[in-house]
Amino acid sequence: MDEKEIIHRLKKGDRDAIRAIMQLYQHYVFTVARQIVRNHEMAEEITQDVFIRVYQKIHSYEERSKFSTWLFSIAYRIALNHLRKKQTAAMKKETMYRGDAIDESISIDEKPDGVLQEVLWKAIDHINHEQGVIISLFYLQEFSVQEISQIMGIPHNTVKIKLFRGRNNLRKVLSKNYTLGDLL
Amino acid sequence: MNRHLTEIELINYCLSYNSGLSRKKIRHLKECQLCLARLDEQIETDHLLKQLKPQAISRELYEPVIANLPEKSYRKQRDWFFYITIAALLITGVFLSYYPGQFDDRAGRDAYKYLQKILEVDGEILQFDWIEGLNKVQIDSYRENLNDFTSHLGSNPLAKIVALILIVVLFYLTIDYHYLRNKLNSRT
Repeated sequence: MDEKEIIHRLKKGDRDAIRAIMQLYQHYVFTVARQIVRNHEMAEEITQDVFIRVYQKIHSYEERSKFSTWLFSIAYRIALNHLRKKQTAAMKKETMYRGDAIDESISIDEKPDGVLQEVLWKAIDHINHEQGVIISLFYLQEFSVQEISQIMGIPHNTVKIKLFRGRNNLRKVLSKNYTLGDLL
Repeated sequence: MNRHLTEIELINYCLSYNSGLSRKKIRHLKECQLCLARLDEQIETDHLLKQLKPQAISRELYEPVIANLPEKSYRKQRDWFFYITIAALLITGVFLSYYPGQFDDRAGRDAYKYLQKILEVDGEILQFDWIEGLNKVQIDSYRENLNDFTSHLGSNPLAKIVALILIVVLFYLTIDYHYLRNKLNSRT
């Protein structure tokens, strides 16, 4: 079943189609939500809310843009609302760029994929959350700068600058413990 | 020596939007070690990030989502109100088209005169109120004038149609946009 068919079924009110759409996107939505709230449980809660909202609002998706752009716009807004509601001083501190080294250095001698992913995500957790979201959207879903700008409701050039600085900050964090050549 | 490339220029170059880069800038990029180093850093991090995969969810989310799905999608709920509104408008229209009275142009003119009269009297009320206070007998006579005005307006079929359409549309907007939307928005 392709994406168009799933959307068509969702518009008809087929509740089973939500499973198909979740299989396609739930991990990506969760990852982006986690970058915003920096909390695993809350990100799972947001992921649930996003798919409920998708089911409710599917009629407002007019198929002019990519479905994923529409979906992640919803996810971004819901995650921001959650963050605003539940943000504590501790979380604020956590979402700021710390620029320090990753707490525990993970061995990458054998460099299995899982370890590399862990190293990268831990490093991304150390940079500003907006930069983390942009990096997630840019590299996981391969969204263009224009699409990210549409999802986050910020100008193109802001996306570009945040992507540039996010990469730089990530590099700084990683270079405290690793040389990038080892990771590549 | 030219100025160093800005962040936007460098990222545009990385993203292959380099058409905006002037020849001078491209020449500068080839010669400037600092700009080249910044560009290399970006390219290297870009290669690394291309290996990025999504993070895993620790529990099954499908069942809780299904359990919380509404019976019907939002559009279906909205349509219900929409169709009631259309039906109400049609019934109103049909009813008024068979109404035995006909449009009385004179009534419209009279209504305007009454309005003018009330406004003038109201002007007096305001003045009177500020200086000496209100006389109950006068208030009753003003109320009588106002009642006359509304009864003239009520006898005008066109005014009735407009008023009823406005009431039905406002009813729809209040129920649908204020109540339903707020309720749905508060869920997230």
